[in-house]
Amino acid sequence: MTSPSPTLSPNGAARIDLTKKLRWRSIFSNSLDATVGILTCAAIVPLLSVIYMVLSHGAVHFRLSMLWQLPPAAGMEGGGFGNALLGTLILVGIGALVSVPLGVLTAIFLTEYSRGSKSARVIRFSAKILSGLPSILAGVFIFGVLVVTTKHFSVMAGGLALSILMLPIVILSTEEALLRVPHFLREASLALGANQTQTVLNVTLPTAAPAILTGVMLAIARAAGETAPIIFTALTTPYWIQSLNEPTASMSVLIYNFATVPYKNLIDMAWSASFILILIVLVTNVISHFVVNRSKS
Amino acid sequence: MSETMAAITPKPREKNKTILDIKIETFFYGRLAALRKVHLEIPKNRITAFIGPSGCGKSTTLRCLNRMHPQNRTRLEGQILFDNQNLYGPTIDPRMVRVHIGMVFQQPNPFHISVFDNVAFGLRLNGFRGNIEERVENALKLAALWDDVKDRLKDPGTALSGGQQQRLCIARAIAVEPQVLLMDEPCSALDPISTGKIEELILELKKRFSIVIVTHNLGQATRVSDYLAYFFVERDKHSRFGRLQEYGPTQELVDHPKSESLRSYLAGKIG
Repeated sequence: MTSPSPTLSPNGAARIDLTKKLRWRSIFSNSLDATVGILTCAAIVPLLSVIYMVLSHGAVHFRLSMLWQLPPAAGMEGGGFGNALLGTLILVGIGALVSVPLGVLTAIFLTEYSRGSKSARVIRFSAKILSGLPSILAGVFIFGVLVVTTKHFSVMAGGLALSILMLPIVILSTEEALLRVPHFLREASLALGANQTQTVLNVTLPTAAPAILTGVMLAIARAAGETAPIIFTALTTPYWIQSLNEPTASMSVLIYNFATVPYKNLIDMAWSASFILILIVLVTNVISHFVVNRSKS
Repeated sequence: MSETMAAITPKPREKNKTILDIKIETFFYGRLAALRKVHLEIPKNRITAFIGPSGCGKSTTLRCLNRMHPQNRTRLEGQILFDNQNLYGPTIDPRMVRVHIGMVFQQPNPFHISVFDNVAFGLRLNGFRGNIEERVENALKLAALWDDVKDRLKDPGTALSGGQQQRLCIARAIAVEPQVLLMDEPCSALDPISTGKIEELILELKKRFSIVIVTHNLGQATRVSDYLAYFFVERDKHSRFGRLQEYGPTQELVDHPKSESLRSYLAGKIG
């Protein structure tokens, strides 16, 4: 048995070549890297261009007094969209007031009291379907139920239409937040003699609170920009809101109306309103982000 | 030589009061029998360790002792006597059982609230009227954690190290002054130094509490326990279930295992 060791070639040089370039593999890898990079850029182009458009058109014409003045009559200068801003805040407020307690309680029922049961599956499925509901249908629904029966458009109807859109977002995000609370925290509470309700109130909800808040903010941000359900329910008005039983102006409907008229000052005001609307959405997201991070540390 | 001496010298049997008289005939999880024939008496102010290979029912038995199993999916045939009351009697409230029989879990699980509030949690829950600060301080001292956290009582409990978190959980469990402390592998998620500290603490705590500890670590069981309960998996035609194989004073069981399976377990052949 004098044959040379199998790892060495006859002249004694190493047969394992570590210097060999895996050319095709690196070409494939690099081209994939490049594709991913390019597509990522392509994905953020729409986002950045929307923000750029709103900033370049909206911010330049924006005056602080727009926040508390009424819209001008056609052809007049000055004015603002104070009534629309207030209207949007109230509409979203009503939407949140209805959807958050309802949604959070539903999620608690799904995760803490009937996890895995048939009723839980049916409710979750309904919430998922509702989350895909075209927003105009929420408007049409409330129009039929509230506006037709009471014979007038109202802030209340608008808020309820928004709550229909917010409800599934709140339910599903709260459910996910509660599911992410580790089971051993619930057990720790039960082992100290707590009952189910005490455990939910003292342990599960507080632990999930930051994540729930993020979901609520998401719902608010979505509702603030809705137009279709508002047109059917809260309509619009050039005046300040007087009571919850009257129509109200809102940012999104104001943008829709002013963007389609031939007066430059109104078109500019629609841009400024868009700017403020984006700012509201941005601020809600930043606040929720801040709160979540603070509670984590 | 000395070993044979020990074997023939009859050891004085410790005269102990029994705190838990366990007579589980069968314990069902769903429709499956998870435990059969677990009969043993847990002595007062002693440390009893449950050992055995995985899936032998030691944790399941431990959780029977404070009724931690979900009520709607489990059923226990037999009885567990605690202070002459059957824990599984029809009029017993499981929550009261858990107040008197505390539990520490495998994973340190402090709540996302301050150190102080963690320890006060059980007291507030049960409507404790008295000096909460004093009780919290005493519990933390008893858990050998006071010196570490006395300046950071307002910090979140989750900000502590793993070993400190587990001692916080022990403090939280003993703050309500239970009679029995159940520990479900309390060190398996900890490093050796923290484990050593917890073991010292357990030995200290037996003056005040009766302790039942489940452990995978045979060394730990022999270091801390006074009594050993060895569980083993059995199979019949339909299923596999846990059963108590041997029970007795720790030294006796380690030196003279009766069953073949305990002998192989002690030799490290089955785990």
